[in-house]
Amino acid sequence: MKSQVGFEQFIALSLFVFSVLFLISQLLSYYPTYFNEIRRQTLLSEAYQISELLANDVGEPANWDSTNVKRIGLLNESLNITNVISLLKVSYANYTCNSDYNKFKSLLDLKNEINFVVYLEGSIIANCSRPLGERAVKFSRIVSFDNKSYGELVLWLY
Amino acid sequence: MALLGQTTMLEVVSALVLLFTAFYFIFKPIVFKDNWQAATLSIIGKDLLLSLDFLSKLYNASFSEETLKDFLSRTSIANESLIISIYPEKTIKESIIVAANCTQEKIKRFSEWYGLLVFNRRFINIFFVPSNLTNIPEYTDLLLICDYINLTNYKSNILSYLSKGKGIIEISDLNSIDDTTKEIFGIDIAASSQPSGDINITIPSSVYSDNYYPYKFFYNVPLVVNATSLNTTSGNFIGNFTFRNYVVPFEIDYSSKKVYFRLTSTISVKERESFNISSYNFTLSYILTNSSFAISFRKVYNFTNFRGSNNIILTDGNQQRIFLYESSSNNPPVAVLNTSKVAWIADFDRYNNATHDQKLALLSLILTVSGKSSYYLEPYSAYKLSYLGVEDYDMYEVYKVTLRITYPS
Repeated sequence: MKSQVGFEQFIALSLFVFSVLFLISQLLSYYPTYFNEIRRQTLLSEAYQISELLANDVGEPANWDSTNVKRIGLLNESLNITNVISLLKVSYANYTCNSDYNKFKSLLDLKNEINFVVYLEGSIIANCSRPLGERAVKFSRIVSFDNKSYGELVLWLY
Repeated sequence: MALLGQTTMLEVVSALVLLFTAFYFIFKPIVFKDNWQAATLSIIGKDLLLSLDFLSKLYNASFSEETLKDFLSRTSIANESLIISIYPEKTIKESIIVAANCTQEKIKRFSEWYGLLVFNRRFINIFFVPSNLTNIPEYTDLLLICDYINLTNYKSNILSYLSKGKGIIEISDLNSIDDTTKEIFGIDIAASSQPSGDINITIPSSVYSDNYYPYKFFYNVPLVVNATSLNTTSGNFIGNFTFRNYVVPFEIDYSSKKVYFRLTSTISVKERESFNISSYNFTLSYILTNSSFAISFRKVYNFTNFRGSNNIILTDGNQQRIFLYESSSNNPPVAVLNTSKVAWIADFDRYNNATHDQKLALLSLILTVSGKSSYYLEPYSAYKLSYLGVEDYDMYEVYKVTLRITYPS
């Protein structure tokens, strides 16, 4: 009779321990998934905001160049038409990013890392890329250029 | 003892089953739902429309799949599994199908007059299919009735056809009139009087007037004029351009993209050039082939009288329903609309001698009553973006563009 009680207690204890361990392991496995998802959502949101800033903001000052830039925005300030960016500003942004990456990030007030490529009808005209970090998010915008051509602004945040 | 052991095992198994069932419901596979896919489609679609518009390619992309494909081919979208299409709406239909209750000879003549139209740099096809008034084909855009027919027995058919958004034109000389014709066309006949004076075009008082669209089309839509023979000496195609009582011989010099109009002196006209003949203004809108060109009539134009014996009066007195009228004391109407979907015009081709201005008047009515294009979009899930396009090559035209973008299902 004594041994029977001991066996039942053992089974009950095993079940309890198993349940607690399973519960903890599940919670631990959920954490990185949730964390990654939150990070992905944040990056996507930030990538969209940066793409909007680049494609639809003139920057500061409006006719900035690589020497006096305070905020980067690629929109042509003379035309001031949605999604029509200045080829000159693209070249200044490319120069700034490749010569002083940290300055480029600070001009966009970015905490994350950024890569960007600008295509003009399939050909690369600006490229500021480094090896992509883990779980980088990509955002692509179709834009027009002020010389009446069009292309794509592709950026990655990670 | 054995029974007690069995009971314990049963309890253990039951507890385990309950436990795993509870875990199954508590720890379901994680699924994150967000709207980034829809947001991405929306952003791509909006960017596409803005770029096409800025580059003046929106109009061509709306009417030509090739232009859109070519545009996309130079972007990374071409490598993505996206389905993108653009539809123009609220504009003149690409194909107009006319149910013609006319003789085979008449249908053949209409097909020759309007076989191909070019307008705002796009082609419009008008097809004429024979029809009776009992079974009007559903797929047609308008019904053309040649010569007067007592419509009393066809009233329900015609009203049913009209209720589907289709139009009706009657080309006839009215010596008598039935109640259904009176009701549908909003006209009645008065005692006949002799034709006198020219035929004028009513100037619409507003864009909502019934006669606004035929007026607009008449002065803007180019009419295709075909050559009839070959000048063996020059190797150019020749023919006659006819309006009012004028028969103006022309010769198309396709290699130098000119048309020569041979009056007392010869006028040489290039594409898009305006010219006048006997104080009437025209524009040579297109030289289409070596045997055809398209010509636009310009303000202010009036026709020589083709009223015939018709003496029509309006049942409601609304003068803005009149497209053409005789310039005489009573101003009897020669072409009348009713709610922009129904039109009557005097039979200008009663002697088989229709001139180009008269053909253009009928074409203006056809384009008016055939209605504007609308597309039936399949109900399957696709992101849709609307945009407003404007074209002004031949005629100022505002149209709606709908871009559909989706991932393959």
